[in-house]
Amino acid sequence: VAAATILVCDDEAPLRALVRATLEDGYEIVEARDGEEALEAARRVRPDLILLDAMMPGRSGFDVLRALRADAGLASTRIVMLTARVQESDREAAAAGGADRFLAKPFSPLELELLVRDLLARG
Amino acid sequence: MIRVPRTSLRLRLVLLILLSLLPLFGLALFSAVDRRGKDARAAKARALDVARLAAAAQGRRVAEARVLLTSLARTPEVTRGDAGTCGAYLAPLLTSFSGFVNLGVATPAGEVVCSALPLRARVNVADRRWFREALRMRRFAVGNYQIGRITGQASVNFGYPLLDGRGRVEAVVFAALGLRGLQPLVSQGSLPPGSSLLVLDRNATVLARYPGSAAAVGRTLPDEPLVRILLSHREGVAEATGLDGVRRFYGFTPLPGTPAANDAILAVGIPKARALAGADADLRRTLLVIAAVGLLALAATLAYSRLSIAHPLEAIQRAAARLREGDLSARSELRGGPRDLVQLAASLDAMAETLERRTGELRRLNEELERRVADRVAELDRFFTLALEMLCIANLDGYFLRVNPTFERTLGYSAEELVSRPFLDFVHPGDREATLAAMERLAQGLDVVSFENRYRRRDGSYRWILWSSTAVPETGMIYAAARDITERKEAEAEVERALTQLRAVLDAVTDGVALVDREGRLVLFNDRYRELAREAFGRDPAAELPAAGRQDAFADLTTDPEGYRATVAAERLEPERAHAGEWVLAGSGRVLLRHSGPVRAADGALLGRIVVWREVTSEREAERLKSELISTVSHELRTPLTSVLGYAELLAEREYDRETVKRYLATIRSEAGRLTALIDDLLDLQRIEAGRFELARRQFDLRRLLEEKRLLFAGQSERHTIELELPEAALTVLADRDRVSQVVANLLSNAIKYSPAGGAVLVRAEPLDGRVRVSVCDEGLGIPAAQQERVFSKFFRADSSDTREIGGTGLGLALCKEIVEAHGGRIGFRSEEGKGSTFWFELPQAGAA
Repeated sequence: VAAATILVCDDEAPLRALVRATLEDGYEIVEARDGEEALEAARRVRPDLILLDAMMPGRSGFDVLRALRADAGLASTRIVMLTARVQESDREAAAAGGADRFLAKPFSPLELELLVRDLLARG
Repeated sequence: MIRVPRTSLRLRLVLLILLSLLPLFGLALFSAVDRRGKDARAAKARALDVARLAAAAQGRRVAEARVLLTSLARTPEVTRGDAGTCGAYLAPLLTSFSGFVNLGVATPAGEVVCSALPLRARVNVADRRWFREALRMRRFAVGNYQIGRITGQASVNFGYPLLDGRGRVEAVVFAALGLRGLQPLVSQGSLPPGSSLLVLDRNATVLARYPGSAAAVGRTLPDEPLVRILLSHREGVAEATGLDGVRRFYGFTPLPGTPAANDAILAVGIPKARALAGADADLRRTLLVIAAVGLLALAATLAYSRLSIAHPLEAIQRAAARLREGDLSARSELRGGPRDLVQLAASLDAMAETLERRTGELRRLNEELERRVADRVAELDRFFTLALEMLCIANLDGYFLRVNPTFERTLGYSAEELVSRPFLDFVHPGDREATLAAMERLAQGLDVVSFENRYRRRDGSYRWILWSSTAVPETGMIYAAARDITERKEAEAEVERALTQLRAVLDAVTDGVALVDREGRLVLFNDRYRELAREAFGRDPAAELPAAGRQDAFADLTTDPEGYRATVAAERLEPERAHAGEWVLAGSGRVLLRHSGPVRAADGALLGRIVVWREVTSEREAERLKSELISTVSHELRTPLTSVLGYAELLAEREYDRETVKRYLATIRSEAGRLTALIDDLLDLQRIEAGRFELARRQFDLRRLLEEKRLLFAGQSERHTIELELPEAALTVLADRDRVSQVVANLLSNAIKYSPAGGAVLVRAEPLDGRVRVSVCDEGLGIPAAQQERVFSKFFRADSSDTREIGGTGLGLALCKEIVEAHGGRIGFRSEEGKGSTFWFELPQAGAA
């Protein structure tokens, strides 16, 4: 059984490293440093799940979310928005944009692991 | 009315009568002329008849003469007798044969041998025509009418030859026929007295003339008009003046019995006066009759006119004269007389009646009017006296003519004092020119209203007077009502002062304040309001005055026109309530807070609204920045915190090998350090921004600081070389050394971080116009042009795929800027993407200033 592929998109390298450290034992991890890279990688590897930082320089996470959701080939891909913001408006924007979950920074790696497993198991 | 003098009318009547007599005169004259013509013709005809009768009688005498001479020729006493016998025989014959003036015998030689009249001398008749003819023709011969040599009077002689047996002429018997025989024709006949007879021979010699002296006989008068007529016509009639100067009608004819060539002309003249006496007498008579008739008619007319015209006219005239003199009760009261005059008199009386009645009405009306005028004048006078207004009548010469008591009271002068001097004397010197201008307008017939000037009171103070004046330029009169408005002027000045103060207060307010009335008209606004309207809305309220109701004109300038309109509508619907709203201007993005609330008078009545505009653009921007900063800071803090917490949890929950644990712990430490640096920078920045930033200034040499920094950073990267370019002389600055050190460290750190491929970093310091300039130059990535303007803002980090991995708080350059500027210096940079950046800053050189 091939491991599920997870695309991590965040401009902060330490954060990508933390996600990799958390999930690299059970999943194939692909990293992207910004929105453009994320879209390119998503179309290339067709990940099972995308962890998408909401606040990035250049194309914002919400922008990327809309683009991903507009892509029919990625209809079954789970998307989890990661954001430092805790405003209700961000949650609503994430839900409206088609994100499956919303995870606020700082997050617990174990919680992330459970959330990912749960989402992929439902798939 | 009857102005024609009585005599004139009479004269006219007389003239009328005379005119009516004129045809009679004409007729009389005509018949007189006619009669005179007839009489003249009759007189002429009669004169001719008489003349012809005389001529015929003369003719008969010629025949008689022939018979007589023939018989005498046979009478022996004559033919044979001696002179005495013969004479005796012949002399009696002269009385028997009237008309003959002589008889005689002459010898063939012409010697008169015998004569009825005694011969006083020898007389020879050989030259006489009758003698020569008788001798030559041997028959009866007639001589010319001539003056006899024997008789000495006019006669015509006849000769008859006595022939002997042999037929020779023995003697010539002759007879002289005088003209005296003609006299009775005129003297005794039916001719009127004064009639004349004239015999002329063809040589214009007067042969006989009766009546008249014999003196004229024998004279030749060829130039007499009568003589000329007779000689030229020989027979006919004529009117001419006789030799005695009397005008006569003449009838003339040649006397027979003489040879035609040598005849005489007999003219009978009837005096013209006599001939026409009858006609003239008739004329005189006729004229007399006419004159008598005319006189009678005149007398009758005059009498009539006196009775029937003059008396009535006098009555009418008397009445008219009395009317003229104003006695309207005068009547002619004419009852009798010609109908026309009675009608005229009746008309006059009727007229007088009407006149009297009308005049009476007019008089009553006039009295009524006068009474009413007097009432009105009294009323006006009362008002003039009672009026609280100052009233006056003045003239254009500049004098009061009349002033009312209020006028006196107001100025404290008596009417006598006011009218005694030009009113300009009472006018404030500063108002005289304007007052003269107002009078000039009045003189042109223009009304002067709302004119104000100051009048001096008796106590020397001045009162403000408001005038309403009108003038009648023709009469030079000015009528004016005036009012003491001093209190009002003072109140106005007070209001003006209060308004000025209010204005000053309003203009000092930094909000735009405007007051609009209930109809939405802009009543007042302050400078800031005008400024805002002009800047933000592009309208000048002073020019356009957009009132509250029209403030929806602003709606389209905002980003929310509908909301704006709704607010303005709500204000109209609920004028009692306050409304507030914040509006963003489309385009400029300026934010304006608009507040409006009701304005009430002291009694609570709604006067309008006060509208306050406050620009909150910078406040909103600050709030936005602050919120953004918080959000950013939150993000920036959470990211390293996530690493710290995440790795800590992994280490706590999972088993890792020693290397991994060390790596994770190193990450935790570096991320915690990053957190600390971030918090330090934030605090520094916040302190500087809050003004709680203490600079510990002291003098130091910048070169030393730069050398220290080079040593510090040179050990951090093996791939970079740091070169220093410093002047020989010290670069002394008065500054906070630690802060300046922080700036240099930040710039060097950035230079190294953003030249990941390594390379040279050049640090240069130099004095520049009293400042010290430090520049840090790298050969790194550079900053994209689009991002350059945000370089010094907080949390800015150059963003490109190559800078993604470069860490940092994004606060360094913002902090540098704050520090340099706090020292009174400047900071800046020059950068080109892909080629590197040069950041520089300048500090004032110590002692240079």
